[in-house]
Amino acid sequence: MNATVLTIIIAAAVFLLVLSSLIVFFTFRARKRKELVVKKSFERHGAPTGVGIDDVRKPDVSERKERKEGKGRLYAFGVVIMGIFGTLAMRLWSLQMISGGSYQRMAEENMTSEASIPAPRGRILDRNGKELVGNRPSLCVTAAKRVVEEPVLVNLLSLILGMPRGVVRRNLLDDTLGAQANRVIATDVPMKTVAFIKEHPRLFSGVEVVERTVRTYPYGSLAAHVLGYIGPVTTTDLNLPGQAVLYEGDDYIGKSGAELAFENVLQGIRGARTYRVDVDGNPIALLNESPPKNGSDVCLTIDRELQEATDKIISDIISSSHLRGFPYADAGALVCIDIEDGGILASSSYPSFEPEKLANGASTEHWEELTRKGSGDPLTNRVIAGLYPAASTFKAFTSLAGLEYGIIADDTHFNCNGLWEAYGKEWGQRCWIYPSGHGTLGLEEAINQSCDIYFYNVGASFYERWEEAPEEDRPDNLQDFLKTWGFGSETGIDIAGEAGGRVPTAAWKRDWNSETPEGGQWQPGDMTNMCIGQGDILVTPLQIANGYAGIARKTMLKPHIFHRVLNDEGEAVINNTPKESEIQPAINDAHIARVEDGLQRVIRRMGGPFNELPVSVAGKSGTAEVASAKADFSWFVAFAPADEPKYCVACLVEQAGDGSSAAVLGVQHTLAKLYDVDIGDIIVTQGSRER
Amino acid sequence: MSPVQPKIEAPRSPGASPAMRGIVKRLLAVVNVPLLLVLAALTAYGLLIVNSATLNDTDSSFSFSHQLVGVAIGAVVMLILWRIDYRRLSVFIVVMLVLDFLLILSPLLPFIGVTVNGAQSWISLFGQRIQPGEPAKIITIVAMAALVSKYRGKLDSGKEYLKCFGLLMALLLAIMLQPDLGTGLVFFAIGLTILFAGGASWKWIVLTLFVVAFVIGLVIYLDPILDESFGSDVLLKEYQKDRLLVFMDEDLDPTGVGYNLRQAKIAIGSGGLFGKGLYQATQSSLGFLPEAPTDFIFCVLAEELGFMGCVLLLTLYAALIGASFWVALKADDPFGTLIVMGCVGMWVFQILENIGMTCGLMPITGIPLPFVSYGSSFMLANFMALGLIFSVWSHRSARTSGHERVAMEE
Repeated sequence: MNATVLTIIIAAAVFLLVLSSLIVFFTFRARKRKELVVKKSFERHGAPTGVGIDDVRKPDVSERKERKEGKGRLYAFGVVIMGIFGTLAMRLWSLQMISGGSYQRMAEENMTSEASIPAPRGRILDRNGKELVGNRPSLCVTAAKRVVEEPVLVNLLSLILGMPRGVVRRNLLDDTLGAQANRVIATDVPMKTVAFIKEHPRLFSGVEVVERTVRTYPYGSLAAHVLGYIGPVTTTDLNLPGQAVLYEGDDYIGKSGAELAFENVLQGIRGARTYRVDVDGNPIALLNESPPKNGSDVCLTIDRELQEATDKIISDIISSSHLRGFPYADAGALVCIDIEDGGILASSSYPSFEPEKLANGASTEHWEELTRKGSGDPLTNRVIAGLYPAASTFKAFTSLAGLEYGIIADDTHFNCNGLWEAYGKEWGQRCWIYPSGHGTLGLEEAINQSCDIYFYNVGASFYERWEEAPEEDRPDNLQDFLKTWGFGSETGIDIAGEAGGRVPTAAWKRDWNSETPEGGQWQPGDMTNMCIGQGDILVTPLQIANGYAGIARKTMLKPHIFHRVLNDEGEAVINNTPKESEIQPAINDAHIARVEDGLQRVIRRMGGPFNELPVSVAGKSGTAEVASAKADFSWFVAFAPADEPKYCVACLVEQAGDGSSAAVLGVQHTLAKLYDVDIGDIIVTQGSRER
Repeated sequence: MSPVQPKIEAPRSPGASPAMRGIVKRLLAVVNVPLLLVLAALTAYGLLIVNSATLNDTDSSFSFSHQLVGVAIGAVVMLILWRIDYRRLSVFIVVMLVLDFLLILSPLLPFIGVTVNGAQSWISLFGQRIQPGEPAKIITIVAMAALVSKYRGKLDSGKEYLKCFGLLMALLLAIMLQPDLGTGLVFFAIGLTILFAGGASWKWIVLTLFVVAFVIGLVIYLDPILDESFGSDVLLKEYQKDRLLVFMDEDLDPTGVGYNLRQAKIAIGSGGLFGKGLYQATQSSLGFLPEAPTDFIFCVLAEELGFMGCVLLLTLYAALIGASFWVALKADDPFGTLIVMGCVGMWVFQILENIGMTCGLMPITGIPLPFVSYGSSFMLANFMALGLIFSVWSHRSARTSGHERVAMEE
């Protein structure tokens, strides 16, 4: 306000000066001057040139008329001027009084600019607090898209970043971060290069150095499928309902695994700074700041050490299988469940990938490499999304079904001579031991020896029950029972991408073969095959593990990888609570005891490394025949200790032959790791044809 | 617009001596006090806004003290002109016209001519940048007034009208050599006002307006055709076309060619009723508003002082013009009347165009706002105009009281 006063004083001073000069100028010499002027005027021009002199004499009539007309014109001109001033005033009224508010907002928008402060994403830890996914700052060189049109700058960038020109150009054209976003040319740029760029802003117009937080995976591809990866937020992500976080265009968001499952916890909330800016967008003053809120750390139920072991086990089994005549064994799954609460202690899917390469902006080539045909689908988590015939591992559940429906009584025995022709010679089905036979077997031995014919008989009884019922009300007793053990639907694990599998029924078969009605007929073979886990039944390794855990625990729980959420101080703020499955199987302790007896006999009979474990184990092998495959799929599932179950491990190896030769190694070595026993290297032996 | 009643009689102060009363009476007879007060208020108001605009402006080429110097020089020149009997000037028509052309063409001379924003409107003398077009306006007023006053309020002859109009056109052509469309338009406004007030017959005035409208239409029509056949801007410059397009569609390209108008309107509109306060304009101080101290100074005023500030300015202008009208009406001879009307025409056109362009009523042209815009040459021109008006007032015969007139007749 000092300046205001100053201005007024200066203006006033100027006019005081003017006024005083005037007084001096006119007042004291007025009279003299007047006479002089008039005289001079006469002297010089002889005749008066101005009207002033004319006024002295009397003006004639015409002259007076002209004067009047002239005045009329002046008044007309005055009216025009008034109109102009009125128009201006009205326009100003409309701008300032009527639209003033909206212009004030525009002026405000003009001069404020919001910059958001990214919030670090929460880390992902194992159950013991070991970091599985972390963050680290990385200096990135980014550039506006238009830079691609400046060959000199592209050359320069290629030179100082030590990248081929083609790569620089390609990165500049890459629009995975959005068409308008700056393109990331290089990440993890050394400080020296950054300094050079910052010292030469003119050379590098359009180029920016930004510090980004990138995701780090200290153990490489460890538990890759469980951890998942993040990626730039897309429009589809933004439109997903029920979001706790408001995303911005350059946010990274969980795309799979735990990163996706716990997105709302891991994602921090961006802070914001409001600046006053000038016309060039340069911040002048900080008006407001709200600090970012870090994302919370999430502990998974995964045990890093065990996970490391299972990752190695599954890959060792596969490489060993290659040496043992199973060249097509190229994929597998291994999962270990904590029976007490359903937590996943380890989950390995082979082949795997490196999440770090995907999380920090995957290149198009890398994506193609992972998704092209023949890549072996490394991105698929076979534990939850791999669908396989359950094979003989299923016999535990069909046993329980037989017991539940009284098909298998205490003394029910069936005879096995290798070939089962209950529905006639043309419908004959073989036991795996054919041309030999098992002889007469009770349930426990049938499980132990995995006798197919025993279970064909169980299946046949279920078929009869179905067939005998009136056509409009035929019960799917077996299927309904199997479904209560979690088959045919998702287990409800807390990571996305789970497959539900399939439990075939007559109705399903009719729909499935709706184009060929005769093929849609429910046959006894459908039932008998289902009882040995073949035919149209499809399960995931997780369903098998979870089902066996259910048998051991006598309750079905939803498996989970969520352990707890930690606050900034590392204290647990949210702990997982075990969740029971919505549908619970009918539990009969006597029935379960008989099945467990059978399962324990399997392990006792197999002996070998199982004998070296300090606990007794119950388990079952499986050898799945898959029509399109070149070799059988190898299954094994077991839980331990048998008397007080704690861990359940399921293993599947694609095209690796018998369950008792390949997959069993996965279970054995996982249990050996759990009980800290050394059982030697993983060597697949060409096992017996036993299932 | 009610003419302000000049107080010829001194206030009755019983204690004042007769001698003192005589001095005051004589002073009031020669000085048009209302006009002087309006001038003081307008100049102070203008300086205040210029101070704010130059303080805020990020461009350091504008200095407030420079403007003060302009005002001081202007005041001195005003006093000199005031002192001179305007009637003496009427004999110098030829001298004035030669001087006028010299001034207008001087920026085209080598060494002293300076090009700013694509127009050669400036000369550089002793390190000072001067815009000779500004004083040339005043000389044009006097010259045109002297020429037209010879017809004693009756300009019926087409030949005579064409003579005067031709002179005006010659001046315009000289200005368009710079080229400076804004100043040219002011010249045209001055000329037309003087011709109209000088009694040019209605038919010539109307015909002139028609011809002007026709020529404008022809230029707009022919411009694209000529541009195409010659491959360069022939009649209208690219920016002039853009300004016309923006004038037609206010929301056109708000970040490009429509930027100036949009920012100007934001500045004015955001002022509201009372404004953001002196020195608080964000639009100009943060650089959003272009040319804030010169052509867009009205936006600074409107933003800082709001609608009230704008109304005050318009009121002061109205008072200035009203008082000038009074002088024009009371002038002894057509010459005096026409000088005053020329000045009025100049001011009105500049006010209309400058305020009008900032709020979208007129196309954007570089025309400053009288007594407010930054620029010492411009300030000088405004004070010269007032000097002439004061001269007309002070040298009218009616100011003389009874006994003096008698004395004169003897």
